[in-house]
Amino acid sequence: MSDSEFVVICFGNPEFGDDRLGYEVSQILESKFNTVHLLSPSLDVVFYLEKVSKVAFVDAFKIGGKPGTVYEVDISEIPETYKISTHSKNLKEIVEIASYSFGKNYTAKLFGIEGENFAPSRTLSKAVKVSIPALIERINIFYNSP
Amino acid sequence: MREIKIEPITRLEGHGKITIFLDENGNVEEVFFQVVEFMGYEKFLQGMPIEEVPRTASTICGVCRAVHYTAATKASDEIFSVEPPPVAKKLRELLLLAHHIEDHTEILYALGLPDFICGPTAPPQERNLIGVAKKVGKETVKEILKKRFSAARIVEILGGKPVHPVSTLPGGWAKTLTEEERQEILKLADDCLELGKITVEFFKEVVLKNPEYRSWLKNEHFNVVTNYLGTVDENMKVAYYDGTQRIVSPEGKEVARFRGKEYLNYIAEKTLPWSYSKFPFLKQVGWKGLVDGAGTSLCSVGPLARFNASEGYSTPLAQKEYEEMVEFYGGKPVYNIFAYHWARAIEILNQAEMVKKIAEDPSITSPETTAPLGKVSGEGVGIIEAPRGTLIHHFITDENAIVKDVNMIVPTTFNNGSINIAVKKAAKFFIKNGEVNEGILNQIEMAHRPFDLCLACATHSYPSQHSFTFEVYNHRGELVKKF
Repeated sequence: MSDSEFVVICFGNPEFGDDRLGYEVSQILESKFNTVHLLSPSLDVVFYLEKVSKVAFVDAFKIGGKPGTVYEVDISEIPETYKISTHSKNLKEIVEIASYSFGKNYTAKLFGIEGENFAPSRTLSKAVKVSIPALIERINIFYNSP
Repeated sequence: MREIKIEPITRLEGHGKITIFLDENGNVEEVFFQVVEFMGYEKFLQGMPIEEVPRTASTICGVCRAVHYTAATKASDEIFSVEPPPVAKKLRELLLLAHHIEDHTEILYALGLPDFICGPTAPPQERNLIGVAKKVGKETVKEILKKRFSAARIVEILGGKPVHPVSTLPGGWAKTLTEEERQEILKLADDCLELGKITVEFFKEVVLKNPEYRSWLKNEHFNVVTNYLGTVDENMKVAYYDGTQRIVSPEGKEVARFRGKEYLNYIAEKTLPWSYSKFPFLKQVGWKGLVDGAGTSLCSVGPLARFNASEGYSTPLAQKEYEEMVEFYGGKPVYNIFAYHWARAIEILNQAEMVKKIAEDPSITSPETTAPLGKVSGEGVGIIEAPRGTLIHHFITDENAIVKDVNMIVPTTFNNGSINIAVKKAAKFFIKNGEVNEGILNQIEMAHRPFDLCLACATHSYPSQHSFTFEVYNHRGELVKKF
């Protein structure tokens, strides 16, 4: 696939410790891929999906795993309950809106790392920091996959 | 006493809950809208150089990216005793207006109007933008999204980034707008104008032409009667970036006008033990509790408040719509919460007309975008109109412009009391004799959505998007149903 058909969309607040994961990953990948950093999912995401067919979302996780655990989730596998979002939208809903609007199917995955500290801070915890190379590797594999 | 919790409430920014207490007959006795999120930006901005604050403050919210940025920038002008050049003010206003358009569009089509388009009791998985597309047609939604992107693109051109702008400085604007960029903004402004026209007509088609919804717009059960605060220009028309803050009473009479630091003479904040969010009230009236009507100390903000606090809009198409809305209600102020959506739709039109007018001015490409900084004054207040209402940033610094103290009054905080009253009235209207189901609970939630809540949404680590659970307790406090 061409680079213009792939986008990495990273989420996270750089002021809240491990929530800055998305910001950090966007800084690392911006020289290699079309990369966007957003604070949280909103309709803006749809804007970046118009011309691509494959998307890697990146965000910090907090689902009770061991800090530093790397996750890879197909967007279509996000549980249906999350569709009823407390924020304006969730990723599954956003990809559905884009798919519906632009009339195409997306290959979309969410990549993340279990965070340890989400208190106000401009640094990542050590557990998250050491896992970033593994996360980047998974995104590269995803990019090169058919 | 039976207790019903709606937690977390949905289709808003942030986390909150609604707790409803029923009496032994199953009728509503008390309702609390509670903010259960705490971020503490007022604390951790302390110690930061004021020139860094706008960029950091923009991360308060993933949606309201331009508003905290702009308010903090205006405060930083005051701290450096500098008046930005006219071109810088125009570019800041342009950024803010474009942001309003993209935000209002998202709020209306994705959060507020799905209740009306898909039906208030439709299953929640159908009451969203996809559900809207299925009802009104894929091409219509695609067109609306495309035109909203035009507003987002203006924000990107001006802000220097797709999100979280980086283009302002204390005393000015960091980059000269090129003629090519101005021409692009002009073209995008046409899309925004079209979006405004479509949205106003869409509201009329979906809401005003539906007999049930039309009756809700005039139903006193959905009235929240408060004072209203908004920013007006020298002609008393709605203003967003700069102007005078004006408060009108529930009867529509002007009770105060202020600018900058003078807000402290008129606005005070009450803390209640059951919410992280404070409750602003009119200082000169004194705290009267969570009550509306004549003599209330509560003060609403947002599109309807701006409508009530002004004498209309500065642009012809929006003014025409304003007059139609006044005629529909037979005068002002308008108290009905669902009229917030109507005023929001008219504002898109007004803001698009304003964007076009500013973009038509070739002087906005002038390189005179900054003014030299003056002496550090040690105090600055920035007040703007955010999409959700009046936003106040107040900073105290030391002689080196390092922040020592911060006070922010955000629109959802201003509306906190009004939202509590709105959900209580809706709960009383919809819950009778203990009968509660998912559809009824959503109809109660419809009473907070007009206020376009934003409860400090930025800490969104996955999976922040919980499913929602309703817990129903009997009068002995025993859990009888969970769904």
